[in-house]
Amino acid sequence: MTIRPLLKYSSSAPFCALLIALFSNPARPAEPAPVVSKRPIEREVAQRLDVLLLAAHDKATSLPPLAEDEAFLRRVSLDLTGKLPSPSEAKTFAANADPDKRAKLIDRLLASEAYAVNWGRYWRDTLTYHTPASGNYLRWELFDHWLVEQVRRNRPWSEIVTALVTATGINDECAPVNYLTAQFGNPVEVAATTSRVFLGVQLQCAECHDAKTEPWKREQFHELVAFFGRAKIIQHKDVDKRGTPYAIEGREEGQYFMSDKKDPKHLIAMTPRFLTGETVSSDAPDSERRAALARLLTSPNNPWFARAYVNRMWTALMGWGFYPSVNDLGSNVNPLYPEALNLLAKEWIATGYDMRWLFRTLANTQVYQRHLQPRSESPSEVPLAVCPSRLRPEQIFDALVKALGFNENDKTIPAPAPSSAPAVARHTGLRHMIYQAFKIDPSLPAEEVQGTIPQALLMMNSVLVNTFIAARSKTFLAEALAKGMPDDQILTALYERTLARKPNAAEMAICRRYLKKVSNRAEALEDVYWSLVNSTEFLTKK
Amino acid sequence: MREGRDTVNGRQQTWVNVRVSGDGALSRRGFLRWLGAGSVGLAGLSWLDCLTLHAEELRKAQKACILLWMAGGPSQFETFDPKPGAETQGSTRAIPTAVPGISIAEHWKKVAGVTKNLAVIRSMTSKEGNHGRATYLLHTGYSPSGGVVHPGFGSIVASELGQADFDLPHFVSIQGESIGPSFLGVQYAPFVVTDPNRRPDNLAAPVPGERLQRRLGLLKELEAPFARAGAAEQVRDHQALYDQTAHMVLSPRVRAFDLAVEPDKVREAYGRTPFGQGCLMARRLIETGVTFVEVQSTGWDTHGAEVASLKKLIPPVDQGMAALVTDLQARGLLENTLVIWMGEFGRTPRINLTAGRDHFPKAFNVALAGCGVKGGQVIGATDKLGTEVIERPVLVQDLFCTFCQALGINPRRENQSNVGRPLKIVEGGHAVREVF
Repeated sequence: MTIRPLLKYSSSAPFCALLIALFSNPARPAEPAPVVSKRPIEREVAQRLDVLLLAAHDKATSLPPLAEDEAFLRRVSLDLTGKLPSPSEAKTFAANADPDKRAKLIDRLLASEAYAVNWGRYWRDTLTYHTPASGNYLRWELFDHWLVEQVRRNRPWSEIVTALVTATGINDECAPVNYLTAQFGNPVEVAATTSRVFLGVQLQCAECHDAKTEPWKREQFHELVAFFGRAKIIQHKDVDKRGTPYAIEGREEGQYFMSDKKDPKHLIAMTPRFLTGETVSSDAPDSERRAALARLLTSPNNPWFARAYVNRMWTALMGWGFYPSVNDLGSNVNPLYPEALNLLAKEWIATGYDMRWLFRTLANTQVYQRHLQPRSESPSEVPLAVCPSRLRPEQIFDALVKALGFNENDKTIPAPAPSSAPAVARHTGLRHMIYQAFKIDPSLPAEEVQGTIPQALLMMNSVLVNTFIAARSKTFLAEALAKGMPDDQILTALYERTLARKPNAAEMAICRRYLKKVSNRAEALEDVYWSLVNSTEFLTKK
Repeated sequence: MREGRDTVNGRQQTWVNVRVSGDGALSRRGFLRWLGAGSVGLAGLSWLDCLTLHAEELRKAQKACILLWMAGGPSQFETFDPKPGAETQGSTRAIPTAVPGISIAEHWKKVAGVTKNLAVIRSMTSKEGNHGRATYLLHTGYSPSGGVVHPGFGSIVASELGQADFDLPHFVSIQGESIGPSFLGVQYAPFVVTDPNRRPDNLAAPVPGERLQRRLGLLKELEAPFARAGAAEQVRDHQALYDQTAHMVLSPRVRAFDLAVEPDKVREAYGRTPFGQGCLMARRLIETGVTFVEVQSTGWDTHGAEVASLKKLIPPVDQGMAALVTDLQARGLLENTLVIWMGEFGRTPRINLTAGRDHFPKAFNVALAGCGVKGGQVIGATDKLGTEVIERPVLVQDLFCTFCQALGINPRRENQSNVGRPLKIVEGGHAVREVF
């Protein structure tokens, strides 16, 4: 059966539900069609979520208490805006007696420009991390700005994905088309990424063979690829010396072929067919193929779209996911707390894929606001609290700017120049230096992020760190000493600047002992400053 | 300097006792004082570890690999497959080499002198004509495919052959970032040297070793409260990384990165160019125990004014490569060091309107030396115009199997990939037996 591509899925939900029932796929988790209701209230959903989680929780283990104000402030500021709170923000927040102050803070952070920048970057890195594309294929800055703009406008996630998947034009002018050009317009790669990131369905193994751990057939992958089969990449003239741009053009003819497994020279033309069975005519031009794909991807009846996004954002905020990998919501993996995931997905669909809504809901839960817990050895025993995770590269850079007090554009500090090929020249100067050293794929599970020797070398020995922790020139420490600040006051200030908290009694004692042991006071304070910047805690969201 | 044999932990070990003096900044007494100053950190670091270097003999038994990477795609016509007299050849002439019957493109005068060590494969063929994709293919042996992130060959060789207790990175990439280790883990990531003429960034501690040690001790103490507050695992990993990094910073082996200690004569022989000095650093690193070194040369994407560009591009590579092969051989290292010269693809037989050549994966060439490679031979051939491979086509998988055979690595060994399925080091292909 063929669905006419111009069919509007959003206005015919019952019909779609019927179709999906008819073409039920074994890989699809059973889920009722959503009932469109009035817009759910974030804090009500947050409460229902906590109730559900508590009900499913192992009663034998006690729940950790709520995190202190300073820990919560650092956590939520880093998560939503990517930035450390300043010592004065921490002071104001601690002094605020309003019982509603956490919810109000969440609202304020979500309205900030830093929120848009932080999450725009998250998506930029998620969508482009693995591409070996040069700057000709990926206009990185344009793509970055566009994503930040979408987050700032709070454009529904469904619309953003539609824009990415259906874009045509030159990558110099049309920002979202960089999603395709960055993958060289290669339909196999674009389909694999689309399925992995937007649906959490790992299909790339099915490129070559029937998936071994999943019910996917090789044909099903190549039928998905066929949606991109008439999107062609074209080289354009380099008119303004920014490097040869590339464009995606929609064609009205041509087919995508899968090679026969037994006889690779024999090619089989593929008709676009979505994972849930819906097809598009093999005569449909590119614009119709990709528009139909976008509708199928973002349909409220698509069993993966909302769950993949909810699982991804939950993982980013909590440090653990309903599924172990944001890339794989496979049918052979049972999610943790499925009721909670279903509730979130259902209510988020009802908001029309409102990204701020989901952040507000998650940040207002008790599970998000409790004291940090270690990640347990067994994946089934997840504590109902946040687990530690590594900050993303630009969060580390911004934290360093605050902790050390340097200017991002300070040209007196040496930073290696970005190399051009094969990677895109991303940032320049000091930001590039930190980005390059700390870059990670945001889709990597938190427990798989490993530190590297160049990172440690940079933090230990770089001119940047050692210039600004020094008690010389116009650094924080030099000025504190010149002002005659007493030791305890300086130590407290160092903790506040680097870790956004006050030192506890035990830490104070260690530092005082160290000061006593090292006869040179300035040197000893430099060493404390160095140690705090080099600490695990500095790099960790907790 | 004293050489001898010693038994360490019941194991016979050949060692060289090097007294580091002058700019080396470490004397035995200084070292002991420094150890005494901070009782914590640097687990396992001993006087013997610090100053017992593997002797050359031991070093020679371990296989290693140097990749000379020509980023951009070098033209086969202007390197190892000239077509004198053909209309596709352009103005670059062919020159004879030290091996009768083998001629290569002019400008490669020094390499012409070491052809007895080189096996040139003129029949490479692939389908990837885009820099990003082809660079990935020629670095990993696989074409990119969404989701599976393949490790670079440097990381593979490092993980297969690198010795666990070695205190420098197993894989160093000079003047370019190469391709990362993916699921093999960060310990096999390329350590990038941006400029061979100075020490790598941040390798030298800005404070005396004693103070660095003191700082590390304080750091360890200050980490304890965070470890107790729910981040024990993170703190443990971080500490292990800092121990390893400090070990490297204070290792006498880091002098391998310091070209200033080489006599001028040697530095001149390699050529005072970034590529030439990169080759010299590669030799020093291999000699000290590094497993894989990549040295990059950029600018081979000669779409326009090719002849003029090549006149500048070739001489540093010609000199560096020839000096490297000669020096490795003189030191007895060539026997166990595979040297690979290649780029991501070749260039079109047709010379375009801007006097350049465009991307051409259909036919390109690669040169190999050392590690059992039978030199002084050409393998495979293209037709008279250089448009087709007509003899002994070699696929990228075949080439990677050949590398594996030279290095004694099983190409069918499987690693667990990032998408949860095992991935062979090389999928398909057969080693080119004529190479050996």
